[in-house]
Amino acid sequence: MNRRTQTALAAAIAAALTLGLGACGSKDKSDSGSGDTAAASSTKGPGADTGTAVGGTPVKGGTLTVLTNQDFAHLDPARNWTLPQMDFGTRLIYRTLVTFKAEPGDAGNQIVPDLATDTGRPSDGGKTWSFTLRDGLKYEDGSPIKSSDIKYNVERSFSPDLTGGPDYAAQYLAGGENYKGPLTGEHLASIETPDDRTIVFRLKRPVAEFAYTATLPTFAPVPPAQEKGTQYDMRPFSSGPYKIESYDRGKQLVLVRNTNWDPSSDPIRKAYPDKIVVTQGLKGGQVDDRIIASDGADASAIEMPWMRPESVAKVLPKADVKARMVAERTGCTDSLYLNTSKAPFDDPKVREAVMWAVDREAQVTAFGGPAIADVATSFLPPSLTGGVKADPLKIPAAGDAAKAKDLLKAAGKTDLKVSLTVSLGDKTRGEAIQQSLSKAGIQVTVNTVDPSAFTDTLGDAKAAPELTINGWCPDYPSGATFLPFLFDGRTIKDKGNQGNYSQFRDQATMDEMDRIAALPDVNEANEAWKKLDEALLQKAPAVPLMWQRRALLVGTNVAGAFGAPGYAGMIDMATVGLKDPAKSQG
Amino acid sequence: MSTTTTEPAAAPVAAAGPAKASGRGPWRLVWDQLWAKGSARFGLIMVVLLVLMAVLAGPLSALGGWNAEEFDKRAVDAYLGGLPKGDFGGVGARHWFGVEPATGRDLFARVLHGGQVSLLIAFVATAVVVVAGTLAGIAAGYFGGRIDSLLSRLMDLTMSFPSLIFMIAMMSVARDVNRILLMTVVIGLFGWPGVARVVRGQTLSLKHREYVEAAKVGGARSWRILTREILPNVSGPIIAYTTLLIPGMIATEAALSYLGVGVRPPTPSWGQMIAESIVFYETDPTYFLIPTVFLFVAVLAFTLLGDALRDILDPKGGRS
Repeated sequence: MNRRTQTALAAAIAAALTLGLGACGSKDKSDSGSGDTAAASSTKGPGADTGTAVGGTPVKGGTLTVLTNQDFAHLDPARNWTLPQMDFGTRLIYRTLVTFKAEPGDAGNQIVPDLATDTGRPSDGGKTWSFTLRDGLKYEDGSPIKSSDIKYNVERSFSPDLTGGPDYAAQYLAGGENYKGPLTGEHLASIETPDDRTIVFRLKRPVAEFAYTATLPTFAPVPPAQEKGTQYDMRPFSSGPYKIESYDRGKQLVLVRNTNWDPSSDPIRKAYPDKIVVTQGLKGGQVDDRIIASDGADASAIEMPWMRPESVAKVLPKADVKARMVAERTGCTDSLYLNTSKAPFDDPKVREAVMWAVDREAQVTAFGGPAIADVATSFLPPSLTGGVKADPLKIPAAGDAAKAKDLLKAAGKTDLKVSLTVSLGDKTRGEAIQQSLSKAGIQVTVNTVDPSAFTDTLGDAKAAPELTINGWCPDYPSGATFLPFLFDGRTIKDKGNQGNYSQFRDQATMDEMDRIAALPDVNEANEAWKKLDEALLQKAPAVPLMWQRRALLVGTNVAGAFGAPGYAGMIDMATVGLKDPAKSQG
Repeated sequence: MSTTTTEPAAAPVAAAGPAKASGRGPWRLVWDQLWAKGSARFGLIMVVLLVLMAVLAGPLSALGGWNAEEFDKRAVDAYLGGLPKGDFGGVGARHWFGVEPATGRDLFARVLHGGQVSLLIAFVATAVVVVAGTLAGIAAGYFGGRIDSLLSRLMDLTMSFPSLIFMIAMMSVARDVNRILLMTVVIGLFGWPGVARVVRGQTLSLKHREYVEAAKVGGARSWRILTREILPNVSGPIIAYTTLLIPGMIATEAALSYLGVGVRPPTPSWGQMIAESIVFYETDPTYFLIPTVFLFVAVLAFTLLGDALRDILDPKGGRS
């Protein structure tokens, strides 16, 4: 007993001594500047670069395994509006009028005809859109795909029973206000099918980018004879290269080849594997670890919907594992929203100061580093600004606290105290904001809220905090699905406010949004959105923080895997396959 | 820490005053026995060290050159998901205990400040529990009758309450309150019946002793009897119980912080640090190890000290 305590004491004294000695040695720490980190971020980070596929060109055959921690929300094409379901459904089970090119990089944002022979012919100044179907299209039972089947599914998206799907058809189609879907036997007059291969949509107002809208699963065919109401979700009738063999919800989905699908009618889908098995309900970390190890059948596996950011450190140091990671931009922008409805952020000068104060580099690091996120320099992500980063303000990525301080002094607002509400998982990012704003003299209190309560907390417009972090993803590459959702003052609701968390009401901005929405030319509209983006950055209702990338791992036997920009960086299911099909039967 | 012991200890010290002058007082005897016991001595030294560290967290971390909230971008490798640069989580001359992944905050400063929060909550909550428990217990035991049944039922009620769930609910509902204060009150609210029961039992057996009867016959009022005759005699078990309560309180605070309802960021606490380090256990085990070791040592030290004190002050209770 005695001896033991003495050793403990000795150890304690030794520890104290080392501490003291260490203190003498390391006093010169004041060089904690960000000089060399700024230099580091200018060099290219590791991870799969935009425009490359992992594993080369696949060979036909074999079984591809998909490991995921969740079940598909909806596979019914009228209800499918979230990822990874949209990628999975439209690339494997059903075809749409128009779809995204199955190519890595910016090419993947371009649209190509799928069921249709072209990307749609607008007339009447963009208020009428007609499509002609290809010849010889068949369902899984060999029956022909008719234009009336597409009309039928678009009508289904109006049905109040079939929830969860995109509501663009309801927003755009003429006479859709009181329509309740085809289940009651009524049909919509604004969709015409003069013959079995032609479909015409009549819209309320000109929609220049309707061809992009037609990539949504809403524009896939569903034969009325197969209608099963909400049960259709369990087994959508196949018009694509695969059909559902079995589906045990939350456990396993097995897809086998649809022998009636004709590859010559489909220039997009390569359909390499013979069979696709989706194993659901696994733990997130377990999925990453299994694919890193790539044992047996896991070598032929890909994952959905994310690699966990904590796994980054397990992947990047190993060159062979790193080579199997894809990290395409999601096309979403994460921003720090400044509540413009109350002090101090009702003052544009204070907002500008925050714009300069925020250390966006620290945001990227807190999220997992440059391998899975990029510093954002504008609200519109690069996919909406022609693939190039727009950077009109030229603020250094690490922020400029001194300049922010000067701006605050000029505005006559010092010693500001504000609160920031973040979701529990974003605590570190919240602390990084707190740290960078404190350097500019703004004191931030961070409130962490459980993810389930997060949206409700922000949705109460009156009680909303001064600051919050949130993201927005466009539904398809058009500024129309982006800026109006974030900064149109007319969308603000007292309860359940969503999107415009800045509560930004600016007449000039709203007028410009209306003007752009009415433009008949897509390119002209895109240019106008870019201009509006710059104007908004000057007004600073929010601070763009970062553009996330979707990190995903694939097994050693997987080939042709890349993040599809059109599907927020999910692995493009149209082209993924195996290197050696024989190895897949593990 | 002094708040917990001075209150019950004040009376006996005063009572033992004259005896001390003549020879070895009862508290001196306790000290001697304590010091003679190896495990107790270890516990005592560690407790003193930890308390010193917590109290001097500010100046000590200033020696290291970092405060608990300062980010150090140079200490983490952004390209590796924010892992600390260097071996063992970045341990070295720049950061003695390494840094937190992703932010680069100094772990030495954070673990000291975390100890400050953890120990402060533990001590104050224990003080609340002991004061409330002693008052309730002594009142229930001495006055008996209706007061006793009322207080005893209240104790049963509190003890049978699903306390952890209630604490989590409380912490999530009350958002704009001082978190440290709220945690103290919430933890304290559910701890007092334990002490109260012990004190009530002791008081029941003491109140029929001759010297209490004698004081009553001598015309002493209830207040005087309670403070001069009964309290000094229940103080032994109370002190022992208190020391054993502290590790439980530290653990409860850690559990609440671990569940995400602890102190507000960026204030660190040991439980919160452990919770955050879990996801890095494979890639940066040092980050996980440091707050865990501190929590372990703190709980162990208080338990050893408490055990020894109970053996000395409350030998009967120790054997049962």
